[in-house]
Amino acid sequence: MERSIEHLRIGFFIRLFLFVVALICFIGIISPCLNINLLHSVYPYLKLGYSTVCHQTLEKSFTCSNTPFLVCSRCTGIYFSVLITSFILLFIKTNIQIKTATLFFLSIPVLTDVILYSIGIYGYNKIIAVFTGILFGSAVFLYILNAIEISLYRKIDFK
Amino acid sequence: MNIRKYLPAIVCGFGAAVLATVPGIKNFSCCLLIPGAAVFAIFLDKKITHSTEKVIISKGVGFGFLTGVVATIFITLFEMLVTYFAKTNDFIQSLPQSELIMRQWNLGPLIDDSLKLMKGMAKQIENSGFSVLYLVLIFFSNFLINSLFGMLGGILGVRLANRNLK
Repeated sequence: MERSIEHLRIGFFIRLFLFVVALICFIGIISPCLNINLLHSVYPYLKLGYSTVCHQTLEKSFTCSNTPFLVCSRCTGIYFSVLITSFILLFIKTNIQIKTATLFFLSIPVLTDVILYSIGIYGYNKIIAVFTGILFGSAVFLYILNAIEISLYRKIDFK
Repeated sequence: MNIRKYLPAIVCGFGAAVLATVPGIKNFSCCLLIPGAAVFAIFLDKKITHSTEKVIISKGVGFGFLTGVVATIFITLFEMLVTYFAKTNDFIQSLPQSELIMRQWNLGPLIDDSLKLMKGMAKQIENSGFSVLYLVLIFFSNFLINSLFGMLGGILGVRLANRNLK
């Protein structure tokens, strides 16, 4: 799709907004590592908040000075990839398209890892979990972003 | 208001809430339940209406949001019911560990106020099985996250539903 100045401007603001949201979410996740008293004092509430999106199993979470992150390693990978992808996209003007087949292809490692460790082929590995999370998170983020941008560009063109 | 129009989102939101209550499934599916329910709601709506037209993104976002809201209501309801009968929950069980972690940060009076509030809430739940503060906390955290993930799932559903349409 041809991108006009209006497209670029709107696209940049969407990407900036998503980057800020991803940054806030990621700061929450790694809050045990940060030396911010305000975040530390609301630790149980943050933990409760993130429990909606993750099982928060201690053995499956990264730790920072003996304190576990607020989500498991796979979710940490997903949020980290969304943060990095949204940051990189702030400097890229082109519209990155990702096909449905690519999304499914990049979801396979997550699914395979979950199935394999669930049936006991191997034990839970945080590095594998975070890596598969990164692949999945970046693919889903690009897929959703593309849908939002195309829809908004069509609206602008229609006007 | 034509409630039948929103039936797929309501049904899928309720389904997600039921699944979210089952511990094994909750651990397995993580944050995929609500977006999955929103995607399913879009496809269900397409099936019911026999539509061959493209689904617009605002509809997907709306459906996803409604799925998230319905799921929030039922998840909160189920959680409060389980807490009422069990007189305990994950929050209370993890409170001693949270306290230990907070104590090692040496926050001074800041931690005392925060812990006082939490312990009061835990005591109320252990005695009567209900705490207004806990209800408000889980409702708002569920609402914020489920509606957001629902909307993302709705957008995902729109792209998946439109993938074969020109």
